[in-house]
Amino acid sequence: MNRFIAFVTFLIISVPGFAQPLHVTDAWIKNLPPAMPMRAGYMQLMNHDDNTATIVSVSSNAFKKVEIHQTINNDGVMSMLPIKNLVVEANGMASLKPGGMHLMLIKPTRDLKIGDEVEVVLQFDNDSSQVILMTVKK
Amino acid sequence: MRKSAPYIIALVALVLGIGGSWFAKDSKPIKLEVGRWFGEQAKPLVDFELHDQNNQPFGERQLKGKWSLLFFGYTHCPDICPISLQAMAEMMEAIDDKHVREDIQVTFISVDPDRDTPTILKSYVEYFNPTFIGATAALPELKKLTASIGIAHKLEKTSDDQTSYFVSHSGAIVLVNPQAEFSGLFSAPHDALAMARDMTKIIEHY
Repeated sequence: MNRFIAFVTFLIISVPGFAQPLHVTDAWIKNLPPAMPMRAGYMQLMNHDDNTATIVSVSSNAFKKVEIHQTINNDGVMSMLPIKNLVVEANGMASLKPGGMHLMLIKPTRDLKIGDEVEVVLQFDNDSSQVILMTVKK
Repeated sequence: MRKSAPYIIALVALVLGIGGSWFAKDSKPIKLEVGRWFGEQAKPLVDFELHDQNNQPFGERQLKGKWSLLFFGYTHCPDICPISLQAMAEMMEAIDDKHVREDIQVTFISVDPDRDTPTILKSYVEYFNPTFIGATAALPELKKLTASIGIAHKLEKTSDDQTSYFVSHSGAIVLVNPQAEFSGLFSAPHDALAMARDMTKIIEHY
């Protein structure tokens, strides 16, 4: 029995994708007309772990490509800067919010409407990943 | 004759008084919550000709008679443009007075004319509010307008990517009075409810 528990524990900690290091809240996508190729996604990420969580890429089967971006306000002129690694410090948090850091969700693969839930995969630098649900909102 | 002189003087004084107060009203400073009001510094816009989402001309004539809010952006912009248009849509919803609402015209001016065709502009702006206007023009024509009112915008094209590019642009909303004069500015980030109060104050003042 003990060997079985040890085996299951081994599976849990070693299988990529099983770990859920971040507590994600308020994950939503701004709805736009279907013809629009870009959407922004926002969320709060809380890391309750003693290790830093580093997101190296994001993907979703509802979009052709997902990137992490930061809106920069330079004296009133807005531009965007791609973020390579999104670092959530140990016992810290990161906020993706309008006018700041956000997911850029490129080219929807299907029509999305308000209320739809979209699966998005956060890929970490330690080869683990986490699936989150984002809701399409007005 | 002499008896009527005081009456004439009084009448002239009355006319001057009323006229004076009417003109004074125009230049009286308005204290806004979030907007900047230029008062007497309002300046006429340069001549410009854009086309709207229905392929109709959009220029000075379309600005006359209404209070216009102009936002300069592009439809491939995922963050700032949707939240600014959403803020203006919420501002309109927050204005209770129908007459004030009807006096406001919101126009989204695309600074990415190659990608933002009238069809795309139409579905984009009307999604936020069916009364919103979308307009654009070739860059040299656009720049005549934007340069004259200090609105910066730049295509961030790289040599290897000519189709998927960003455009950096001002986050401000430009206020144009019913005489087509540049008369105020709302800087980003935009607070829909405060803008609704400011716009109501401006329109009720005039």
